[in-house]
Amino acid sequence: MIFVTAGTQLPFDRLIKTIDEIASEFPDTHFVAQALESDYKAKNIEVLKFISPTDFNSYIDNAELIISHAGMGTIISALVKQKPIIVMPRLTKYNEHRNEHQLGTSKKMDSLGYVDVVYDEQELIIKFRHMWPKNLKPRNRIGEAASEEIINSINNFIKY
Amino acid sequence: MLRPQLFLLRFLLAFTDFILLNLCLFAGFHFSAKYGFQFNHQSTFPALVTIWVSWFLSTNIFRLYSEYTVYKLQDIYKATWRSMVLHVALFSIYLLLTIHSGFPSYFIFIYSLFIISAFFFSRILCLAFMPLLNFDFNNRKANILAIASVGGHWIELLRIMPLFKEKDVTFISNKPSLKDTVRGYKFYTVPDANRDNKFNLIRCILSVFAFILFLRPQVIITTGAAPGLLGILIGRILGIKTIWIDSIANAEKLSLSGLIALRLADRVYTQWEHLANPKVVFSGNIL
Repeated sequence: MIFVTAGTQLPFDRLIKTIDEIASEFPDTHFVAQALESDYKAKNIEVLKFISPTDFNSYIDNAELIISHAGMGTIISALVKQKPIIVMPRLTKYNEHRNEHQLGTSKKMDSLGYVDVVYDEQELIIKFRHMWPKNLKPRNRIGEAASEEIINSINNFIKY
Repeated sequence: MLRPQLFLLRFLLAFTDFILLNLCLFAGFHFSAKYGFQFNHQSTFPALVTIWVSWFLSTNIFRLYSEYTVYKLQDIYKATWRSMVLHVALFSIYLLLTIHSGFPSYFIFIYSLFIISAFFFSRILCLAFMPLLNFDFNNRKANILAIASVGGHWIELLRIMPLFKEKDVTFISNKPSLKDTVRGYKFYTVPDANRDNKFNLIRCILSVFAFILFLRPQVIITTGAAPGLLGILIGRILGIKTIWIDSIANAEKLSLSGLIALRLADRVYTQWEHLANPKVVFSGNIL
């Protein structure tokens, strides 16, 4: 199963449309996408508007590959569960977000070697064909909780 | 310092403050009487009860005598002056409502002057005595309020869960289904707010304000978005220790909310070392 998340704040048609095109090439693969309702109606993938946190976790658990906008929620979940993830940032020039922070996050996460990042639809198609279904390997992993460094720092600030 | 001693200290502080307050009121009566105003029992007794009730309310809202506050002189000062302002405001409202009872209008000024100077000297005494007391800050217990919006903000907050272990903490978010992710903790929801909808923003402000008054936390921690920022704002007004953790998604500059929080919060964390400066703290990230 391939799990696609496009966020709950604004539509992200570029991602859903590209995934829909890819899905037509892979009829045996099950695609589940979480995306807001918009002008584009996907034909080859299952689209859900909002997923409860429990369901979200089980989709992440069951996914063989995750494709996502550059939202930290999905990225962190994928890194904890050690799932391969492809990230495509939302861009302001297509009115996909209020500011360009998703692009900044993507570049940082890419250069630090946490996730695979694609910057446009064409790159996503190439990346997907390269990875699916034989090249699935998570690029990095993180622990169950934040580093002790930040937790101790906050704890000390609360106490002193 | 042991718990019974701590309790005694809190009791002593509350008791001396209460005596001071009453002395100030009677000094006020005395001075007004000297300049020709006649007070009788019918007007003085309700005034006495009003200062008791309003002082009790004010000190409770700002948690002046709570265990967390008495550990630190600065926190006592913060809670004291806020309590005093609210107390005087409540008492003024009472005097305005009972203007027919014969209190001279300048009574509130005399009274304010008395309590400001009385508490000023009382706190100087605190300053002298506090270094003699041996506080173990490792035992300092806080009532924490953790706020985060649904999505990435919430997941980032969950990453610092070890911080909340064995602590008195309440979570606030804007999606009821998130309750399942913090089982065993208190969890409440507030209406969502964003820059585009003014009505929702007001609903969110009122809701966050009500929860803070009801829960009376001593520390507010948030990883972001509108409800968290409102928590920081209200926390600042009420003298609560506030911590803003800017999302890891802001890798190139601090978020707009983070920049506002920088002016309000007691501490702002960034998760990127290159964004740290003397005011913005970097101490690792939540990954």
